[in-house]
Amino acid sequence: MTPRSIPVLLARALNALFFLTTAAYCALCYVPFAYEQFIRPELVAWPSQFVSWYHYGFWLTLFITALTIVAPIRKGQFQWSMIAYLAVCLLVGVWLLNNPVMSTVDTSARSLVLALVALSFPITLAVIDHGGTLPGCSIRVDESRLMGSCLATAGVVWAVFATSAVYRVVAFEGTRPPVSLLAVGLCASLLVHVLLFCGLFLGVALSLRLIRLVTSALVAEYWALIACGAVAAWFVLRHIVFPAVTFTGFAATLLAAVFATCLALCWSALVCGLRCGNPAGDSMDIILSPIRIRSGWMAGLTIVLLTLPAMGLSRALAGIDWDFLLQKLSVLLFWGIAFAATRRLLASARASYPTVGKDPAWRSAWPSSSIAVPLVIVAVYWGVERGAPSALAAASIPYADYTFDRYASIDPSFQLVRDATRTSGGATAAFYAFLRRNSTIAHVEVPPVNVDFVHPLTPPSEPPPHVFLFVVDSLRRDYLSPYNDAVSFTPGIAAFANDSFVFDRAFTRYGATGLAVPSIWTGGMTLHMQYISPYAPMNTLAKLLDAGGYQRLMSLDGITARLSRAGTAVRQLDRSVRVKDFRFCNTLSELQDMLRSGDTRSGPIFAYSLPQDIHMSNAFTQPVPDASRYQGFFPPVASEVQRIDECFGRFVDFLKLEGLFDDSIVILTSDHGDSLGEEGRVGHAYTLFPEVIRIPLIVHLPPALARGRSADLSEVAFSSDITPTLYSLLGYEPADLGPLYGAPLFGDGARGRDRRRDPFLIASSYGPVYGMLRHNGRFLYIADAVGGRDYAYDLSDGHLGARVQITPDLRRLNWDLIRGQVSAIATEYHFVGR
Amino acid sequence: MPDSCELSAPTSIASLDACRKRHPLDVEILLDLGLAYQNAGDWVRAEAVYTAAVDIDPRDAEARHRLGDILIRRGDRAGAVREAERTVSLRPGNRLALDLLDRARAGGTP
Repeated sequence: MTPRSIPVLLARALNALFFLTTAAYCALCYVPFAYEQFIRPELVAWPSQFVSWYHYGFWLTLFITALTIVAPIRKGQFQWSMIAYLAVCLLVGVWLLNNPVMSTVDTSARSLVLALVALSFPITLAVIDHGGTLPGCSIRVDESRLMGSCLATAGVVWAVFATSAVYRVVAFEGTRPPVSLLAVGLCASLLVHVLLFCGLFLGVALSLRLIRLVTSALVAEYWALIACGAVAAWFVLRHIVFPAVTFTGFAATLLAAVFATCLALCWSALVCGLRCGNPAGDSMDIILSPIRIRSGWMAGLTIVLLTLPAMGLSRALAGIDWDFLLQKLSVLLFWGIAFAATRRLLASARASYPTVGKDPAWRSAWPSSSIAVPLVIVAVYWGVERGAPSALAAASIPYADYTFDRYASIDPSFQLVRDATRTSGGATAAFYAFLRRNSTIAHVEVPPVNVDFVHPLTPPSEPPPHVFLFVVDSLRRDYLSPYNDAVSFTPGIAAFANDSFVFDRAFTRYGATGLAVPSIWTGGMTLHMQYISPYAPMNTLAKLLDAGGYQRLMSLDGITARLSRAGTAVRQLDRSVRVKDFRFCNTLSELQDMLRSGDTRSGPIFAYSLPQDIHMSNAFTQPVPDASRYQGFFPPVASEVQRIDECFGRFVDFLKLEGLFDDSIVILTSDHGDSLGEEGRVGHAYTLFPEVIRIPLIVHLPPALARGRSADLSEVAFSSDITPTLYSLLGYEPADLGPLYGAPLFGDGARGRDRRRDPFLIASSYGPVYGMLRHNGRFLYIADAVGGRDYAYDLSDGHLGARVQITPDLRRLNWDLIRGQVSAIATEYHFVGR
Repeated sequence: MPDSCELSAPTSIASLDACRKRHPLDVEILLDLGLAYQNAGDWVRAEAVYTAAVDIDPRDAEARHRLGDILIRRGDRAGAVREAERTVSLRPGNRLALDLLDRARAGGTP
């Protein structure tokens, strides 16, 4: 193989990027969660554009790749393998013209096969590019230099992110952690970074020693390093990237392996193209050659400059990230650059000052010392970790995990190491495995079951009232003045609340939209699956609307559309608007026009919308001109709340003006809350923290319906109570379907329901994270099988509650309750597990 | 094994007191203990227990209702009215709460 020009290498990179993107798209489609939440609703634009232009992209990639192949052929460097590769690509390209396969991928196994096929293209090209030759190297990998680089990188990475953490505490953090916490976090961070890079060094060094036992060929060292890179890439994909989109199991393991192989081979081909025939340096130098840092001072400057993006990393990515995935990948990139820069810096130092890094005499006498030192470090850490809990307990230092969580929230590198190295065994592993078996159920047939609050359901005896149900995505209760005296920017909702019932302890059953919306329509919890099809037999709200002869005026988001019976008559709001772009003001304006037009007056109206104004994908990126107005709040969200408050207030005035208000049930709620920086948490991907599960629930009743009815606003309530409440308000007596289902919020004026001792299951929509809400909503236990840890909160005081220590008894009790209710759902849906 | 206090509380004062010691912030146990004292005619202890429950969870309508009821029995009219008004605001439309308020204002007996 000869060195390749930069344009050829860019062409190879384009080829790899195109097919890796193809495989990534197919993998996303294969995962029901990603397909239903990201792809179908077109949450981001690129997938649909990628599909629309796919065949052009394929031909362009093929054309550019062909150009790089034809030139060598003209020079007489003829390769049958390359011709065969081109021929197959041509056939596929022609086939694609008549078979737009990318527009048909879905959650079926075919998508997985297509992903594997897509990866075969760059893998084949990389194998051909290697052409049986490899970059020559004349130097054995220097273990002591590698160890020095690893330890120095640990120090550099720690210092970069520690500086960033201190800066964040000083500059941004609203609730500053105490100095002692910061100090403990910094020490822990240094320890785990040293441990991590020692572990990485040991993995590489042992692989090299193993390969040296088999062969003395230096090229084998090169391949051992490439294999180590592939294993690292597999680990990142399998344990960091894929779990972020709930892609787990054998299919994830397989695809991660092929993906990692592809990445390693393509990188190797790139290295070959750059360094073929240039034997300078050992195999590690050759593999790092694409990250070209020319001099020692440039390496030093790179390290210093790394601190700047590290400072703003979390904030910059918050609006577009999912479960911190981009943040974690960015940290990995930091590590790679820091390693290359540190290695270069040490090499320069060694060249300038020969005594720097020179092996001491004892190392010559004991050649295994470069392995032994990190082994001792790992062993000491292991011992410390084993003994630490009892030592901390003996020293009466509580909440060690809490301390590290707080620090991790301001040090993404520390957080990544903690998450990646978290393991659980014994009963904990078995319990988490149970949760995983019963969550994100996919690729199995689960027939629907009939859920009925009233059976048979006949039309109501009295003319039913209008119903306006507004579920504002991600709206937090503590951003509304009826729930928080510190809020001054929601006068419209405050006025509405004065005429309404404000349920103080309202919660969602699911910590994200995917299953929170179905739980509202069902009036209870469902199997952890997106989605049982057809869903109509479980859709008790739709059954009520049919019985009541309601006209539906609805924004049809992807989820609500999936829940409805095919052919249901709907006058659609926000038609031709992407779900992500549903705006409350526009929807209400359109709804007003429909109501004004008069042709909706023939029967009761049911209006529904799921506005996206507050959702992190929208609000986080909105500029806020006068952020100081929202002291104590997250300004981008607070300003959006203020905007929708004005529109909602005007809409309520409109209803009053039109004489509709006193004939209408108006419900303002949200599907879930959101983390807006509390203790460093952002978003609601797989979490059930208090700010995510607490929701506003404000219900206005027509005076005629309110008479003789009472509500206990201090009793625990759920958004899944809305549907049985509507049944009750329309004159039915909804059946008590048990703790997994809702119950009417209003009683007959005397004693209401008594739920204060009932344990209520809650769950994340997208992952095996479950919670148990008890003591009238005052106590929350969270079992997080995604993050591999449990939490407990006392919600008695404040909006965010206070974290409490988990005792073995507390854990056992809540695990039993969670296991019992998760099993009850599985039993109800005849789901026997995977 | 976890004790049974949290899920299905005992009924005797001694057992409930033991539960309270193990779970001092458990409002449900306090409500059960208060009721046990009420049934035993020990209004002083019942008031203390309900007051403790209200201190833990000021927005608990049941605790306030029971405390208001006890305060009427104990002749603390102002306190009873305060608790009854709070109960009515937490349980709008509830006849029992309105009745409590009426009785508190009238200074009547339960």
